[in-house]
Order: sequence, then structure tokens, then C-alpha cells
Amino acid sequence: MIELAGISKSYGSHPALSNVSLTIPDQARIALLGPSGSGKTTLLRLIAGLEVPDAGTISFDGGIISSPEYVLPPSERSMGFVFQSAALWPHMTVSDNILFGLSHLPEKEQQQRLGTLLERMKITPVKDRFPDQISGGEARRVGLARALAPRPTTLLFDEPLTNLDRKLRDDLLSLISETIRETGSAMVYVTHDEYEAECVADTIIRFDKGTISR
Amino acid sequence: MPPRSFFRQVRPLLSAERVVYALVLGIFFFLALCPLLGLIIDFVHAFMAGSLDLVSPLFLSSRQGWLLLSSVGLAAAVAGAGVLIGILIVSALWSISQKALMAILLALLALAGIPSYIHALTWSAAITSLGKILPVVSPAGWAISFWVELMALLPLAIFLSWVAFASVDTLLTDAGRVFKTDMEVFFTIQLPLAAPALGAALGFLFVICCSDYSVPSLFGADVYALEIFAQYSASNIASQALLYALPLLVIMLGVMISCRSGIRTLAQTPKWLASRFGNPPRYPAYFRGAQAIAVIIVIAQIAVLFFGLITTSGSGDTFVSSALRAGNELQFSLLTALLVVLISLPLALAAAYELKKPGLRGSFAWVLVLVPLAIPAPLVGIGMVTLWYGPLLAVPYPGLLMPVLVAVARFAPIAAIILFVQLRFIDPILFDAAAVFSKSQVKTWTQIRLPLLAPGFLVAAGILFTLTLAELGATLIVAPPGHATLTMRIYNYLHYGAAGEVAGLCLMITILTLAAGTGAILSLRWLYNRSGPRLPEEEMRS
Repeated sequence: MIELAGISKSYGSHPALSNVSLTIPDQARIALLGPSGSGKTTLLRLIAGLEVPDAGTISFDGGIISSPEYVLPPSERSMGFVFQSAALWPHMTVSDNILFGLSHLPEKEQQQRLGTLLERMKITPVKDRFPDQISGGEARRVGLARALAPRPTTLLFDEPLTNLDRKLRDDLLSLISETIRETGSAMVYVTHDEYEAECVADTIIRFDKGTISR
Repeated sequence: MPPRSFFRQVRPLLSAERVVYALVLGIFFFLALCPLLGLIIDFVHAFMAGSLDLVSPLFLSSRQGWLLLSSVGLAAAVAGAGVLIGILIVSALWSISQKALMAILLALLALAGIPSYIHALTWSAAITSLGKILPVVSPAGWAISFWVELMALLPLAIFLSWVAFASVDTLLTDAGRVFKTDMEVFFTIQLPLAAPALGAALGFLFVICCSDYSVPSLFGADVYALEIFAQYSASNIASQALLYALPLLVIMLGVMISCRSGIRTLAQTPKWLASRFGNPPRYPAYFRGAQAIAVIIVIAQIAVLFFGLITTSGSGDTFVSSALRAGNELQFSLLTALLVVLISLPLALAAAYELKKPGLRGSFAWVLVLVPLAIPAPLVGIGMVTLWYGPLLAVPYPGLLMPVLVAVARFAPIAAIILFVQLRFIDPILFDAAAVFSKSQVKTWTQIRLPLLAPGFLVAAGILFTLTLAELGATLIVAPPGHATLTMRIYNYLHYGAAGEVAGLCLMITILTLAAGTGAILSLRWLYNRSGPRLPEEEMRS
């Protein structure tokens, strides 16, 4: 269980989050819904350990993982992050992108997980290609496969379906919903699209001006 | 084809804008390639006359071979060490605040303009003092030449390394940090992605070092660039100097052309100033130790420079009197630098547009822009003198303008590359929108294009001004009798050992360089502040 208590964060004189408290139970599927600039992404990055809070704490199963004085490194949090732009490393093939988080595992297990994910995400034909040689939809699937590969306890999605056409978006929404259900990971899904939020989440939390509005 | 239909077809190509563009572009390439043109013409002339010794320059004597090898080795070592220290410093800078980072980067830009012979002066004094305590430290030779060249190029090396890493999208780094430690992410993601731009930085530093003979000559280490100058001084035959320079020219040209792809990646993300790590990376002890050593080297560089200049130049009265005595040289230097900026910027803008062209045309433009950068400084001066003295140009020898022309030939291509990077940052749709909404070309230029290009112009102007103030290798050959730049006066004094006088003048050049840098920086700040505060990129997007 992840608990956020009194989290605040500012960028210079611009407050991004003000005194946000939130509990994310194990296996919960939560969508953070709100307009641009409401602080959703900042909250997600704070949970991932990519930002340092100005005030408040973030705890994981009772242990503090983020505070203004201490931040547990992102790689030690067992979290997967799916970025808005897929953020695939351009100098690595699709397979290498997915394998990146698995280097601590034996080679055989790495290949086994890779094969399963490539098949599950329907990207086997492009496994040896580089990110600039695949379509936008395939890139999002690779981003999802990469986040799932180490089997994280929590998956964080930062508007992963922005700028996709309707059909592709619906396909990926189903894929994300099914995958989350199968893995049993907790999920925090950031979006400004109510339809997306309803499709993937059990709980929708509305965000506005850096605070939870409902 | 009948003349009328020919003109009908050609007419659309002759719009005022196209004609001006072609004209300005033509002048840019003519001025940038003037030295090479002069050398080639002289070569052909001498070849036809049968007065050319083709054999000796192509079969380098063992001494020349050693000089070439030593020069390339020195430049490679300086460039490699500079980039290595740059990488360590940049990785340390990720832990400091955005404001402090900006202040350091701007200070580096200003320090980068300080001429290498000033570092030679201050380090020479420091090492002589050190030699009294540690007799093994020699105040002459290759080791001290390497160190002083490194100190001179260090601010530029750090700045270019920062640019290389700033070109890597921070999101790609964040994506890796979720899986692996910051050290692993540094080696597997950041370093490989920054590698092409770091390679370009390495190439630039290599070429600058290869072309400079002032520092090695002051420390008694002969380099190939000095050999070219010596060959010309002895024979007064430009084509022969070209032949002797050919091996170095080929190496430098190869390095510059291989830098091309790296330069293009510099502008792959427009978030140079906005990119930041929300949670600064943490590195293991061994890497932090290496970072600390790099920081100590930079502090030593700055401390020796300023402490050396201030103590050697003596009292304020001595400084004022040496400045007054160099009044003419100061005036000539400032006028030259100002003219170089005014002439180069509009020409470089046309070249920057040409560099953006796709396909063969753009590639050809890149080669033509990079070639002048690969010509060693003395050869630029030799080529220039040969062309303007030659029988082909039926114009009066532009004596007083020659220092301006050599600086344009050497540095206008750098301005073109800076403006190319600036152009890549600007969304082309802004220019399309201007074309749709504005009916007047003049209005489009004054209200849209020039304001958008202003940061690039300011940076290019600052760099051109400081480079011109520091230019020596080519100016020494072309300066008209009775006229010298401040740099020439300092270089001449250095050989006579007039330490107080030299330090006073060096302090003046340093102040001028810092003033030019500060001017450019304050103008940039004013420009950016006018556009209002910026929200963090992620929040803008979400």
C-alpha cells in the first residue's frame, strides 16, 4: 500500500501540488483525472521517486520512501512507469528496451519473459527494430512491455494514449485493462480524458490546481 | 529555347528574396573560402610555371613526421582530457539548482573566450614558482604545453559537454532510472545518447588545438602549425606552405566532417534550458571522487588565471599606464572585432539556412562550412595575403581590413553553425504562420524571424567578438605595417619577458572578454524574461 501524506511541491514560485493526501491500496486501479497543469504528472513523478517533495511523506507498506530529506532511488521502488511519449531509448532495439530492466535475471528467464511480452503485446515482428523504425502504436506497446517486464508491484501511467487515433486507443485501453487485471499490480493512471479513466480504473480521483477536488 | 520562354521560366526564381539570399550566401562562401582560394590559385600558378617542389612536402622528413605526430597527439590528448573533465563536471552540475547552473554556464562561456596565451602567462608564472619547491616540474616542454592548452580549452570543453548532455531528453534518463541505478543509467543511456555530440565537441577541441601554435611555441615545444608558418617565412611561397600543410589539413578536415552528424544531434531537443532532474542523480564514491578532482582542476584554472594576472600586473597605476600605452592597439582590436561581428552575422544566417537544406545540397553546404574551420590559422593568413596580393583581384590591397577578413574567414562558419542550431530550435510552423498572416516581408523579418533568432545572434556575436580579440595565428601574417592588435602586442611582449606590461594587457583582454560575455548574457536574460516565467515542462504537457 502506498500512502501520500500532506505532499506539496512547487517549481519556483509556481505551486504544482498543495497538501495532497492519498492512499493507494494493493491491487487498486486508480485514475487521476484533471485538466492540464493540475499537478497530476508531478504527483506520479513523486510516487516514482523522480521528484523530491517540498513537504509531506510518501510511504510504501509503512516505510517512508519519499520526504524532503530522503528519497529512495526510483530503481529500488519496484514500480513501472509508462511515459506519455513512450520514451524508448533510440540506441536500443525493441528487445533491448524491454530487456533493460531484467539484467539482474538469468539469461534464460530474461528470454522467456521477453518472448511472453512480445507475444502478449503483439510486437514480435518488430523485436529487432529500433524505435524510429516502428509505428506510434507499436512504440506505446513497447513502452508498456518495458514497464511490465520486471513485474513491478505498482504501475504508473502518464497519459500513455495521448495523440493516438480512436481505434488504436481502444485497442490499447483493453490491453492495459487486461494486463493490469492479470498481473495484479496496483495502478495509477493519469489522464485528462474521462472515457479513458472510466475504462481502466475502479476509482477516479479528480485533480484541480494541485489539489484533490473530489 | 526561345529567350522569352527561358525568362518566363527563370523569372519566379528571381524574386527579390531569392536574389538577396543567393547574393549573401555567395559572399559568405567567398569570404570563408578566400584563404583556400588564394592557396589553390597560387598552387596552380606555381605548378604551371614549374616552380613547385612537389616531392619534398609529400615525403615528410623524420623531423616533420615527428612534429605532425606530436601535434596530433597533443591535440588528441588535450581534447580527450577536456571532454573527460567536461563529462565529470556536467554530471556534478546535475545536483545543483537551476539558477546556480545557469550562472556557472554563463561564466564558462565568458571564460572560454580568454585567449590561450593569457593562460600560458599565468601558468608559466605558477609553474616557475612550483618548480622552486618541486624541481621535477619543468617550465618548458610538451607536458606544460598540454596542461596550458587544456586549461585554456577547459571552459569551452565543459560548456560543449553540457550542451551534449542537455541534448539528451531527460525523459529518456528518467525512464531508465525507474529500472537501474543512476550510475548504470549514466553509462547505458546518457553517455551513449550524448556520444555523437560529445564526439563533435572532441573534434572541435582537437581542431582548435591542432591549429594553435602560440602556447607550444611559448613553452619551447614545436608543433606542425608553427612549421607551416616557418616554411612560409623561409620561402615566401604560399603553394609550398599549402603542400606542407596538407597532412594536417587532411586530418583536420576528416575530423571536422566526422563531427557533422554530432553537430546535427545538438539540436535534437529544444529543452536545453528547461531540462532538469526533479531528483538529482546519486553516484558511487569512486565517481564522486573523480568529480571532485575535476572540480579542483577547474577551481585551479580560475584561481591561477585571476590571481596570476592581478599579482603580476602590479598596482592600479601600472595597469592604467600599460592600458594607455596600448591605446592604439586596443582601438584597432575593438574596431576589428566589431566589424567582424557586423559582417559575419547576416552572412552566417544565409549559410545557416543552407545548412538546413535536405539532401545533397545541405551536405555540400556542410562541407563548405566545415572546410574553413579545418584550415590551420597561419595558412588562413598565408592564403589571404596570396589572394589579395595576387593578379586576379584587380582591387586595392585592403590592408586595414585584412585582420577583419581573416577573422571573418576563420569564425563566420562558427556563427553559421550556431545559427543553424538556433534555427533547428524554432518550430518551422511559426515561420509558416508568419508567411500566412503577414503581407510584408520586412514585417515578417523584423517582427517574427529576427526576434526568434535573437538568442542565436547574441551568442554568435559574443563568441565572434571574443574569438576575434584572441586571434593571433592569421592576424600576425596579414596585419598592415604600423598596425597591431592587442593580442599581437601581448604576444610580442611575451617573448621579451615584460611580465608586468603583459599581465596588464592580458587583464585588459580578460576584462573585455568578460564584458562581451556579460553583455551577451544580460541581453539573453532580458530576452527570456520578456517572454514571462515558464512552467515546468511536464506540467505544461499534463
